[in-house]
This record gives sequence, structure tokens and C-alpha cells, in this order.
Amino acid sequence: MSSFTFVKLIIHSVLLVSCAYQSFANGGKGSINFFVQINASETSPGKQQQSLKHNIHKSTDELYSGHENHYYAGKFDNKENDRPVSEKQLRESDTTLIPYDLTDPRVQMVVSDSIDDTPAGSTYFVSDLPTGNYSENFILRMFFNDSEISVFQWKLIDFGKENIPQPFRRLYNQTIDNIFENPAVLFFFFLILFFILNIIGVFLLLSYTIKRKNRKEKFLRIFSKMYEEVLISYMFGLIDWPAASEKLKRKGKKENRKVLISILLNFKENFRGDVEKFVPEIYMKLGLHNDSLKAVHSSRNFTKIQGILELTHLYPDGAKDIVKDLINAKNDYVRSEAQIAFIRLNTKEPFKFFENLTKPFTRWTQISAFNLIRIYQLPVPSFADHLERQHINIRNFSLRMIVYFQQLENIPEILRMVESERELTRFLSYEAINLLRIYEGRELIKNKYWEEKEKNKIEIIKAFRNIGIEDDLEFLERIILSEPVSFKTEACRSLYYMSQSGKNKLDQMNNNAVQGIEQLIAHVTDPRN
Amino acid sequence: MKRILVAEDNRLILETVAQSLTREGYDIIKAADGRECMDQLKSNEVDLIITDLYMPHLNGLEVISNLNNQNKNITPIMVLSASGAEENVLKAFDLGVDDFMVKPFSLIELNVRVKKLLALKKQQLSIT
Repeated sequence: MSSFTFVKLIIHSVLLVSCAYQSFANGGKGSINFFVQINASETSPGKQQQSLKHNIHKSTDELYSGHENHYYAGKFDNKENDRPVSEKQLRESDTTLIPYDLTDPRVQMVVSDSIDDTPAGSTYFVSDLPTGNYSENFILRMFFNDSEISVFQWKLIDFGKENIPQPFRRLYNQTIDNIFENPAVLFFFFLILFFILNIIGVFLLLSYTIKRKNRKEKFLRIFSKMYEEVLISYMFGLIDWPAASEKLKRKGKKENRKVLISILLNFKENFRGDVEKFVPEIYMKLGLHNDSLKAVHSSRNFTKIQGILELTHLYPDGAKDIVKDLINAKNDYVRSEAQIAFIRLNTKEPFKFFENLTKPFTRWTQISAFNLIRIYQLPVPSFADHLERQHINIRNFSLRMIVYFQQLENIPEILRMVESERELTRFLSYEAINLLRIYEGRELIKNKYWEEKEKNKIEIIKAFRNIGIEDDLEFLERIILSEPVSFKTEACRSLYYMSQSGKNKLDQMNNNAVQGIEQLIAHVTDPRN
Repeated sequence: MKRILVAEDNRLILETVAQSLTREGYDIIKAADGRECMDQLKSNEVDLIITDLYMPHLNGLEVISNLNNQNKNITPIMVLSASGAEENVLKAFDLGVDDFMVKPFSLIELNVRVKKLLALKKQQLSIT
């Protein structure tokens, strides 16, 4: 071995072992250690070969390259593998183990002479050497160990070699290096990648959904047209049922059965007479009522409502019992649909379900029920009979209906509602007394006035505009003299429009210089109010 | 053979009405919307127009207005509509509609009304 080689070997070994010592010394504390490993060889083998020999992998950096030597800093793959190499070189070189901290900028790497140990070559400060990847990639380390990171990085580089054109490869490699060296870059890289993948995912999902929907709609359109033609031909006697049934292709499929039901509903909705009569027949022949019955028993409320609707229109006889059971359904929408269906199906006694109603009869359902009565001209029951019911919604609905249909058969029942615990019920009864001109209620509502709440007080005062007589002038005067302005205004209005005696009373009050009366009279007589 | 133009965007109603009137011996021209109705009228002479009120592109009332503007108002017009709202009925008659049927309707009744309208037209033509 030449002296030059020997010197180099010593220097390299010193550096290597010192760094290895540093590593081992700190290893037990869990700290991250760096080594310097000198790659010395006269034969100048390829970098990769040397790297393999000394367990140098991509996470190490080449600090300096001079002559045939390469100086690396970094974390080696495996301390255990590294130790024998270090110790072997230590033994061979007979060099003292010197601890070096490479992160200390004062640490030098000195190429020494092997004989007298004097500096024989250049002296390098680690801090002066080209920067390497001293930073630890903590983000990746949270998920992977060093070996996996290294393997992944190499795979990326290999991928670049195979797939990325030469002009861009350098940029690619630099990017890979930067990503693995700089945690922030890596973080943003993954963040951007995540968002890009998200956007791609959303677009793919949208595209797939739209494509699927369009395809489904296209098929349904084709089947819908075909089914319509067949059913029209059957209805007009152009084909008999066996032929029609045969022509209704794929009628067993769930989606196609839905199409058939929608066609029948369309017939039912738009035609009366002979065509209308055909609809239940076809519905039963195709066994579609079983689908609707199944839908009614579905756990999904929307499906349940759809089932109720189909049965009500297409299979009324079968629907009656089912609808009756759903009158008190837990779900508001199901219950509402069932209640409306009941009214449609039981035209003779549309409100018979009140007898068993325990759950709310919502305002929306009340409006729908009212519209059904009007549109289908259903027989209107005596709503006063329902005033006795405990169900508050039924009583309020009945009071409204009594007013609308001018049902004056049972006035005592209406007056009894004035004593209700519910503010709204009392309000509706005052309204009924007012609009139906129930004069018998005058004294009653006058007595109730002083204990009522604002809205109801106003309604009572309003009532006197229609039912008030001379006996009530004093009551209204008292309101004008003692109550707040909103009540005064309404009382003044009632007095003014009640009768001539009311107007006289106002004049009298005006003459007596009752405070503010002039303005009140001006206000109520102004046509804008 | 009398020729009737039926304009209706609901294909089921269009086909059913067309089938029913064909069986009565009329020649039927179909239009799926208001614009198609106008196109058909440009190229065909018809004895009666049956139109829906609510259609894409041009609604029934617009079709009737266009016909009035083109002085083609001698053709009897029947309106089929899901809405029997007074406002619509009055507007339609104001525009010169001869008959108004509210859905759901009976095909037998429709055929009778069609026959009646065509007979009236025949009478009017014979007078003039």
C-alpha cells in the first residue's frame, strides 16, 4: 500500500470512527446522529458501489469530493451495520477514537499525513462544505421509518429515470431532493397533492353520476314511451291483454315498474271516464299494488308517502285500511299524507279519522283538507260536533271551518270555546263570534276582555264593530279612557262603525275634551287606515 | 276528412287524445310544444286546434295570440288545461277561444265537443 493511500485511509478512518462514536454515544438518548464517512479507494469504484459497501444511502449527502475520495454526511441506514465497518477501519488504522460533532461549525475534516500526523492536504470546515440534508424530515418520519423513506425516494428517482425525458429529469430530481429535504415543501407538496386528488375525485364522481343518471333517464324515457304506446293500444282495444302484457318488456324490473306506476298516475290525473276506469284494472293486472303496498311498509318515510299516494289514486279499496293505520304516524309528513288520503278516500265521512286522532293535525294538513273539500266538493260535516273533542288542532280547525262555512247550528258550543285554556282557541272563538255575528256572545266576551291577552283583546274590541249595541258604548268608552293606544284606536274604530249612537258617543267624548280623541277619530276615519 | 291539430307537451295526453280522435275518423297532426304548433300551422291547413295552456317555448295563449295576429283566427280553438282558474278561462275566451276543458277530462266529452265545434264551423262557413 502506498503511503498516500495509507494516509488517506487513516484520515478517513479517523473521521468515520469519530462520527460513528458520536452516533453511538448519543444513540441511546434517541437523538438523531450524523456520521461522516470517507469513501477511500485507489481503484475509484463507482459511487453507488461504494455507497452500498458503507451503507450510504440517499439520505446522506456528499459533503466533498476530492481526488478519488468522497466525504459523506448523513444518517446511515443502520447503526449496527455501520459499527463493524467503523471498528474494522479503526483497528486497521490504529487510530484513536475522537468524538466530533458535525453540527458544530468548528469541526474540521483534516486530511492528515499518515506518518507524522501533520496536515498534508487541505483543511475543511464542515460549515464551509456544500450544504447537505442535515435537516430531518419529521413529517415523513411520523408515518415511515428511514428505510421506507429512502426506498420510496429511490423509487421516485428510478421512476424519473425510466419515464421522465432527459431535459426535465434534473428538475425532477431536484424537486424530489427538495421535497425530501425540506419538510415544509413536503407538507405543501402533499397538501397540494391532496387537493388536486380531491378535485379530480369530485370531477370523476360528478362525471360518473351524471353519466349514470343520463343513461338511466334515457332508458326510462325509452321504456316510458314504449309502455305508454302499449297501454294506449290496450285501452283503445287495439290489442288484448296477453299481447299487451307480452309487449311490456322488462316489466318485472323495479325501475320499470315505477315507470308503469307513474304512467298510470298520469292517466289518472288527466283523464276521467273510460280511461280512468282502465287504470285500476291495469294496476292490479300488473301486480303493481304489491309494489305500492311494499312501499307503504318501507322504513323510509319518502317511500312510505309515495306508496300512500299510489294506493290512494290507483287502488282506493286497498288503501283505506292502510291509511287508517297511518293517521297517527310518528313522522309529520307520513301522517299528513295519510290524513289527506283518508279525506280523499272517505268522501262520505271525510273527517271520521278525528275520532281516533291522537297526533297533531298540522296547519298544512288543515289547509290541504280545506282545499280538498273545496276542489272535490266533499260533503261538509257539522264542525260544531268536533268542538267537543279534546284534540286542540281539531277544535281550532273546526272553529275556522264553522266560520268559513257559516255553520250556526250549535252556537252554545262556539261560545263554550271562549272558556278554553288555549289562547288561540279563544281567539278563534272571538273571531267566530265577530264574523258570524253571534250577538249572544256580547256579554260573555265583555267579561272576558279584562283578563285577556293583547291579541285577543283586540279581537274582542273588533267584534263590537259588528255585534255592538248601545249597551256596549260604555264598555268601549272605558277602553278609550283607560287602555293603551292600540286598544283605544280599535275601540274608537268599533264605536265609529258600529252605529249612529257610537258616532254620537265619540262626538260627546270629543266635546268633553277627552285627551287624544280627536286624533283617534281622525285616524280611524282616514281611508288610508 | 277533418284535420285536427293537437298541441300538448304531455306525451301521454297527446297520444291518448290523438288515438281517440283518430278512431273518430279525424286526421290528427301532433305538436309537442307551442313552437312546433306554429310550425305545423304554417305548413298545414287545419279545421280545429286543440291546445294545452302551459307548454314549452310558446304557451297556449301565446299561440292563440300569434294566430290572431296572423289573421288565422277563423279556425276553432279548444283549450285543454290543468288550471281552470277563472283568470285563465277569461283570458282564453277573450283571445277568441271557442271551448275550454279542464283536466282531468273525459275522452267521450272531448269527442262530443270536437264534433260540435266542427259543426259550428261548418255552419259559419255556409253562412259566409
